[in-house]
Amino acid sequence: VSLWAGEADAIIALVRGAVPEMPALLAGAERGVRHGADLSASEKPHLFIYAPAARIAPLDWLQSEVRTTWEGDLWVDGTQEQAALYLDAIRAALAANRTLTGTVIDCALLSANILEDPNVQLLKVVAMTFETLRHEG
Amino acid sequence: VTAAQVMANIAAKLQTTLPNSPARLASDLDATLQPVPFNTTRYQLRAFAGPVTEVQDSSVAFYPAMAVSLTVAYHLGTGTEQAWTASGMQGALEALLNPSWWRTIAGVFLVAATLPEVALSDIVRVGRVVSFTLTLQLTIDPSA
Repeated sequence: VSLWAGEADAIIALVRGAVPEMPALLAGAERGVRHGADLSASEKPHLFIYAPAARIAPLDWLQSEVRTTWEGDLWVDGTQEQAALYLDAIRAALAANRTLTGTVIDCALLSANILEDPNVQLLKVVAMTFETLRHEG
Repeated sequence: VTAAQVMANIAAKLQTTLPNSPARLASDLDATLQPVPFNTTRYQLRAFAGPVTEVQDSSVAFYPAMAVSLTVAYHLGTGTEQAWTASGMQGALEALLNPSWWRTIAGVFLVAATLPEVALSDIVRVGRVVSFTLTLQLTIDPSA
C-alpha cells in the first residue's frame, strides 16, 4: 500500500481500538469519504479518513520533515454524550499511542468537534483533524 | 608535504577509523546539498594552512599551521539515537580526540596550540542524522 494508505490504516486501527462498537472491516471504516446519511444502521459507528494534505519542510542532508493532516469523520447513531464519549476514548487512545504503533514519529489531534443537525437528532458526526509527523531521507 | 597532501592523508585515515561505510561528501562546506545515505557515515573535512608558527621554542624554524574542522554525520538507519550516541559515536570521538591519532599522520608535525575538541553543542541531530564537529590546529612539517 502507499505511504498515505498506511497512515490512514494506522489511524483507523487507533479509532477502532477506542470505539469497539465499530463494525468490522469496510462496514465500520474506510479510506475516503462519502455522505454518512447513506450508511445503514449496521455500518455505524462509521469512520471516514480522508483528505490527506502534506506540508514538507526541508532539513539538512536532503532530509524532509513531513507533516500530514487528515480529516476523520466518525458517524454515530446516538446522543451528543455518546459521541463525546467516543471522542474521549479516541483522545485517550492517541495519548497512549502517539506513534500509531511505530507508523509515524507522532500523531496529534489538532481539532475536534461534534456536528449536530436539529432535524436529525440521533445522528452525530465527530469531525476530527489529525496531524502526523514523519522524517524522510 | 603540502597542506593538500596532509588533508588527503587525514581523509585516508578517517576511512579506516570511522564506522559504517564512511565516505567524504563532495561538498565540505554545505550540509544541504547531499544526503547521508541510510545507516552510513559521511564526513566533511575543512582545513586551511594558516600563518606559520614557531616550532616549539625555536626562534629560527617556522612551520605552517593548519586549522582543521571535521564534521562527521551518521544516519541512524532503523536504530535509535542512543544506540549510536552511546556506542559507535563514542568510539569515533575517543579516537579522533586523541592527539596521537593526528600526530601519526604523514606530514603532521605536532598538534599545536589547539588540541582536538568537540563542544557538546556541536553534537546535533537533524531528522535521522546525528553529527558532531571537531576542531583542532595542526602544524605541518613541509620537509616530511
